[in-house]
Amino acid sequence: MGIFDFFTKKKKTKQNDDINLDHYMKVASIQTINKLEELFNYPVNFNDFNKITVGVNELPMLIGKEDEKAICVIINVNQSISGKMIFMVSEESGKSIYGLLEEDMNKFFDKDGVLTERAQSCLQSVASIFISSFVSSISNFLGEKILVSIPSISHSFKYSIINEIVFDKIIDSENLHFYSAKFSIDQESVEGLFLFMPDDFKYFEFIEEIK
Amino acid sequence: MIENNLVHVGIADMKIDNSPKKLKTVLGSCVGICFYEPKQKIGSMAHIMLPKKHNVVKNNYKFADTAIPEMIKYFKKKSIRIDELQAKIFGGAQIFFSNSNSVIPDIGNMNIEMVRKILKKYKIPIISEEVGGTKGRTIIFDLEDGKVLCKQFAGSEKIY
Repeated sequence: MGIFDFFTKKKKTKQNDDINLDHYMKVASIQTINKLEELFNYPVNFNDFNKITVGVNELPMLIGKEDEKAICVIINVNQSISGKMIFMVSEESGKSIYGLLEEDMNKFFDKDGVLTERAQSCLQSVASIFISSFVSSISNFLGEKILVSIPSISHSFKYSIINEIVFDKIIDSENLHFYSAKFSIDQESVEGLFLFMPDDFKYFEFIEEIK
Repeated sequence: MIENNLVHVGIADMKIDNSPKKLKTVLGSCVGICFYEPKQKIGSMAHIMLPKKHNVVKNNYKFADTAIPEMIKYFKKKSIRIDELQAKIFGGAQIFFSNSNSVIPDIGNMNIEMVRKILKKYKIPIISEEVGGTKGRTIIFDLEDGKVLCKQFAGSEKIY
């Protein structure tokens, strides 16, 4: 082995990848907070990421009661990391976010209690800013491209939303593996959940089972 | 009073019970399958997530093609024949507002089609259904009379 090989061939193990990505995730979350604080003009709390493995039946317990109403935005990412990034807030928190950015609160729901197109667009934009700033930080750290899909939004019961988040992750598995973090804006009673469900395990190894 | 008799059917789950119990679940693109035998007032509800089982997964209630045979098996244990059963199906909505470039496929429709196919295979008639659309649903299956209350998210409610 030549002397320069020692310096150039740094052994890259899966464990290293994991540790690095965990670190990148934390730094990316700080950059994402900064972006959101600029947008809302309020302090934003964003808890550190947890790697979580749960059984399919246990996921609802993690995200709340079955009848609770939620608004969920999904954005697919692919290339150097791939999977689903999910932004989920309660109906009340969605309304508060809308109130921070739009003036006319009466246009949040239509006459049937469904999100108006304006409200959908507003929340999709916030989720896109949130997820894009997170993804762009990770992409900078990795020095690799990450492609981002257009957002899809749903307003329904939490249980109703779950299947469309997880269906492709549970075809061959009893368990779901994902990153989870909570975010909040205390002054406006906004609370939400950010989930990242990776498609492959290039950078991810889940060893802890949380019940 | 109602709450005392209410049995929650979880995601990828199945319950079988008698009157005066009521079985409840919340559906999006998942499909809720209700079987009822009116003489003994026994009913069963399954909450399936996907159309077809793949080899490695143990939970049979997750898939339409394995949950229905499991339900039938439980009725057989109670000496109830397939031809005594009636089915009602609900759910299978596409709840993400999306356009043609959506990242979310129409899994609800695939679930509905598979449930219909499997029920046809076992010659179990579907006597009522409320499937498809874009709204989530809560269903409450009353085992006293086999009726199902279906409440749409931010919408109407109807008894089947």
